[in-house]
Amino acid sequence: MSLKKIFIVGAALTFLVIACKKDPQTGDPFAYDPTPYQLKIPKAVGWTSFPIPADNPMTVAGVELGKKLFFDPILSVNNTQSCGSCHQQISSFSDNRKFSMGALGDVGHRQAMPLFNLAWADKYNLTNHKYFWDGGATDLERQVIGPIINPIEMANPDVFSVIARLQKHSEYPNLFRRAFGSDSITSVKLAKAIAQFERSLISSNSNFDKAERRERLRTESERNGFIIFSTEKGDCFHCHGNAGSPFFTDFRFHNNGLEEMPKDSGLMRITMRAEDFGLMKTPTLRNLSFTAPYMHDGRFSTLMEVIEFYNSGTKNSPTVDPMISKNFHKGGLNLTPSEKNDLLNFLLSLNDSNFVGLK
Amino acid sequence: MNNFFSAKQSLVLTSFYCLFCFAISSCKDPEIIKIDTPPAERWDTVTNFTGIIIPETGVLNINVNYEFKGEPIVFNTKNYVNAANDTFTIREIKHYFSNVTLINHEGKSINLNNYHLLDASNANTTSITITNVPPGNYKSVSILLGVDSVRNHSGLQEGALDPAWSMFWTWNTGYIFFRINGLISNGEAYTFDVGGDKHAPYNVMDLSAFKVKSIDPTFNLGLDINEMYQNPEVYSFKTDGFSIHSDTDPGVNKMGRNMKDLLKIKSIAP
Repeated sequence: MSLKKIFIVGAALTFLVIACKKDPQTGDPFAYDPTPYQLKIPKAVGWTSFPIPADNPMTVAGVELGKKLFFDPILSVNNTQSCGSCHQQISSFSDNRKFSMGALGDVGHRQAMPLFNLAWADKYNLTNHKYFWDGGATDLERQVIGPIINPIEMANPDVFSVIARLQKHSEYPNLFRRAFGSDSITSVKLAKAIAQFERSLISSNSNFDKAERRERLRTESERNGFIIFSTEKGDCFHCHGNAGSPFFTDFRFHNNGLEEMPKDSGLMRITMRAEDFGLMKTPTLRNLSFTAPYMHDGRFSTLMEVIEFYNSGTKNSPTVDPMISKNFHKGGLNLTPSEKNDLLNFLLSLNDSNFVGLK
Repeated sequence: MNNFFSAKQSLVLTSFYCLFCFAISSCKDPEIIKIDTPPAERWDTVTNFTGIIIPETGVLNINVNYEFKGEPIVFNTKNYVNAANDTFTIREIKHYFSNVTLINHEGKSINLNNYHLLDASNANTTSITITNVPPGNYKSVSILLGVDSVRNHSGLQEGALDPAWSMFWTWNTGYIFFRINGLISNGEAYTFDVGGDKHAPYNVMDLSAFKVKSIDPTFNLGLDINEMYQNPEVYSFKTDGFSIHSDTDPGVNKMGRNMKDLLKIKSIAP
């Protein structure tokens, strides 16, 4: 073979290889990019992986797009609020208002839930009731649609009007093309992108985690509080997970005895089963300093009020959780002031300032 | 010879061209290699078979005609009376139509895996064409006026199942299988949004009264709204409720049971 031929064949082979890369000729910076997103799941006890829907693998481009959508008021009917308006990062993606206000000024009736470590619900709660205080959403993708068209939230008349706004936008068609391979925007792609961003929200760098990783020592008070948390003394662990679970929620539903006659029917609204009356999703105990006020109705503004409620204020009702009612006969938990203080210090050790952007 | 290229040059150019073509084609999905399928068994030789014979891979056309007691529905202006003596008009009928399943002479079910959203007032949506129907001798057909439990409870899908069509409950995520609403005699609205796996309205229709052989038969179906309110149980607006808004509302079970015989085959054209 002559040198010339070798050169030509070589050039052709080089072209062959290059031709299979993403549009170097057109230089399209928004060509479909399926680079997988690497979840930042710590290598520590209990931090297992969570299932990701086969039809919505996480990609760098998808998570980025979801983040942009999450913080963009274009999703609301009058361009006034984004998901992030009521799920503020500084509040651990919750709302410091008791009830959030919608795009048209309407006020809801439940406290905005914080958003992090969500997707483990898909692993530890195998029912169809996984998300929202009342379990009304079966998965993160489906959850996205609700707030967009809820008249007291983003208040759009329908999803199509939102899609039309995004389609006309100068950037979104390109960003959807990069994330999903086509600049034709659909509600499904919108929901998938936001769900990808939500799955990427992992909070795992609290003082508690650092102590687990042997990067710091627990204070004596935290240690005492941890014991109260994880024994029958405080009895927190039944619903908020035990020492083996780093999530501090069981991803399930309980009536924690807030009222004798719950005003919010909770899970029963979804299942219509009498035994689900007043049951609410167990919120995680992580990042509590950022997520006040507390409970589904935001009735408590401080953690000490919450501790005192579990110590002495729980009420009986037909669906109250057995872990609450078992202490009725002795008038509650009977924690001493120093024990309450220890419990508080333990709870405060679950704050992750990095996650909320304070460090 | 006065060729523009020498033989040697043309060889080089040809090989370059081939590689170029290969470079282009190698970026596409690998072509699916089609293997000739063995000739379909001649089902129509089954003795005395009555039903629908589709001799080779074909097309199924389905037209849905909306009726009340056999008469075509007149929207908004006509008053209808059901078995419980409720008087009402009909403003909107929208519903899912899925899992069209043909059952052959051996009892084997072939689910054509389709999902459609039909709007009775929009003729473009009420005629359906399903392609790639396998050949066979079919003796019955089953159609779900709704969405199967798998699709009802997980993920989001494009097309007919796109939640943007608003046939989707966002507060309790799942599909509204069948929506009908209108006014009752005092001018107030009734609205039934029926859903839920528990009484998913699978409508099974016998085909044995027909003897049709075609590769693209057309099923003309009647969907009789009157049957929502009777058979097996009378549904009364007054006692069972003027509205159904979830798959757990009290009236939904009765209506779901009644909806299993909403569809009837009126005719089949070859």
